[in-house]
Amino acid sequence: MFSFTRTLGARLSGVTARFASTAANAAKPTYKAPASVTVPTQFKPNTKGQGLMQLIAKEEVKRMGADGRSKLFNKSHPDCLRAGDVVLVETLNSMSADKTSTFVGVLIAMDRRGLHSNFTVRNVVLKVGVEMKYMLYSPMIKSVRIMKRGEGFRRAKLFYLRDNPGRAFRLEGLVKQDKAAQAKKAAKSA
Amino acid sequence: DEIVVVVNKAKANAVATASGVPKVKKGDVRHALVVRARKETLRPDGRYVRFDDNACVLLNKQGEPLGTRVLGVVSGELRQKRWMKLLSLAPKVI
Repeated sequence: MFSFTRTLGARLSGVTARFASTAANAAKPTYKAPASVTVPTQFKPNTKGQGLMQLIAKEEVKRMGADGRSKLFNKSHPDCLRAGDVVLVETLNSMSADKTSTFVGVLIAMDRRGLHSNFTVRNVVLKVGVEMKYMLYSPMIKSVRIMKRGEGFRRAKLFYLRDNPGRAFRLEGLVKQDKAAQAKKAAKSA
Repeated sequence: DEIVVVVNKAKANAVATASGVPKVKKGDVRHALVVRARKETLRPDGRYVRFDDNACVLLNKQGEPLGTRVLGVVSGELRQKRWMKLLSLAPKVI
């Protein structure tokens, strides 16, 4: 959308030069924006074929999806999520701390809505069904891992599992297996 | 959230005082704290949590949990200073 090749200082220097009345003003140091501030060089973005908000949303999706989470929702990608997969979501407890909390469950719904894309994971914990709806592009989500591919689910939304779970939520064995595998991996790499 | 509830069903062998009289009888009106809700609750980062049932924990007049144990999952919305004791009693917080 905007190109950041020129700093605000470079633009301002031209303006100040025009209005420099005294020698002292002309010799003043030009302002250089800090690296954390994104400075646009053009104030009219190219919105050909789409509105400004659509552009901004696309930009945000690109920025937040830089760690590769967009592929989870990309149907043409082999690693994409599908309703029925058993999924492990790791979320940061806070942006400052390193601590994470995990939630394992069956993916029962995926909503593709650009930046607001979300998915619902359901599990039965201590005999109580719990559903968590995660925003895909939330910075609090550390990782989404597929523990097991769903088999035999022929719907996009598996809300029927709330009433007819069958054996879908027998996930303790999977979690144990996964933990063992992760421990092995850690031991190998260490 | 703290709510006012009326006890519809009380187990006979539940919480009892020293004299053997049950603390909670059917028909009691008490304060309680909602720990699970079927309605999805919004977390600050945009997450939603929803449980399959509505559940609450009875409180005494001081606002402390009446019982000594909590059964089942408890919502993470209770992560406040006031309910830390309850959180520590809960077997699982989501």
